[in-house]
Amino acid sequence: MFSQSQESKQCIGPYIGGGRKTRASASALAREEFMIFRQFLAPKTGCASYLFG
Amino acid sequence: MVDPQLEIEPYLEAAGQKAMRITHIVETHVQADHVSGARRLAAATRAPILMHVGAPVEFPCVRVEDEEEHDMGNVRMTFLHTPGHTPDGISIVITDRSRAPEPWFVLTGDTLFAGGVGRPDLLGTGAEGRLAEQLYDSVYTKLLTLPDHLEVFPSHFGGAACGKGLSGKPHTTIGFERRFNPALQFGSKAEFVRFVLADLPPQPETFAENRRRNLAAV
Repeated sequence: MFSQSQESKQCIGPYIGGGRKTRASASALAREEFMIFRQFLAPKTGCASYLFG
Repeated sequence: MVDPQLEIEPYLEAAGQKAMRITHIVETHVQADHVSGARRLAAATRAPILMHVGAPVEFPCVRVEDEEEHDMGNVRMTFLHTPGHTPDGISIVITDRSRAPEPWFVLTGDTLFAGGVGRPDLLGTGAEGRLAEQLYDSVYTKLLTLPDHLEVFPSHFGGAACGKGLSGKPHTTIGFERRFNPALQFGSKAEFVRFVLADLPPQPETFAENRRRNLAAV
């Protein structure tokens, strides 16, 4: 588990943390719970859309 | 909300059922296969539309750059510039910090699919060779540096004309695609470019008009 965590950080290293950032306030963060995730599929066209947060 | 279709009612209904407020609308690129619902959804929710800084659209949007991060409560979106299908393509690495401090999944737009990659010839400007090279860099040097356990949620699955060989299964993982995606088995950029430019299906007639509408100010 620990080694996987190390490896993951190494893998994503170049793409995390270098750019512009926006942050929610601490109070807003405290109100949040687990993520909601919905995938919308259109079988006729093969399109997918996503709602999450 | 990512890559909304023109019919936005299902999104509003789903958000309402969960008492969610749509605060960000992301277009992973200027679409050609369908008319986007982003502006209609923005008008309904007052949420901004986020697109890559290089997207040549004529309407107001928030321009994001490579590696830019946006937080929505516990959820962090990290944008990666992944051109190739189009010059303005982005992928979004998602971290749900209520579960883990590390990324959980990636939305790959039209860059990486289950079983394929985005076709680089839809601009119709003779730029497909350059875009195919960019696609190689986006997939091999960005997306494939992500951990194998990350789930991949593309913007298309089987039946779409934005790539070839797409699976009917709409999501996958980085590790499975690394091992079994035919486009990800090449040792050189030249081989990859030859592969992605070969045997492309004809571009549907509606694509140019869809793209024009998705670029326009109104």
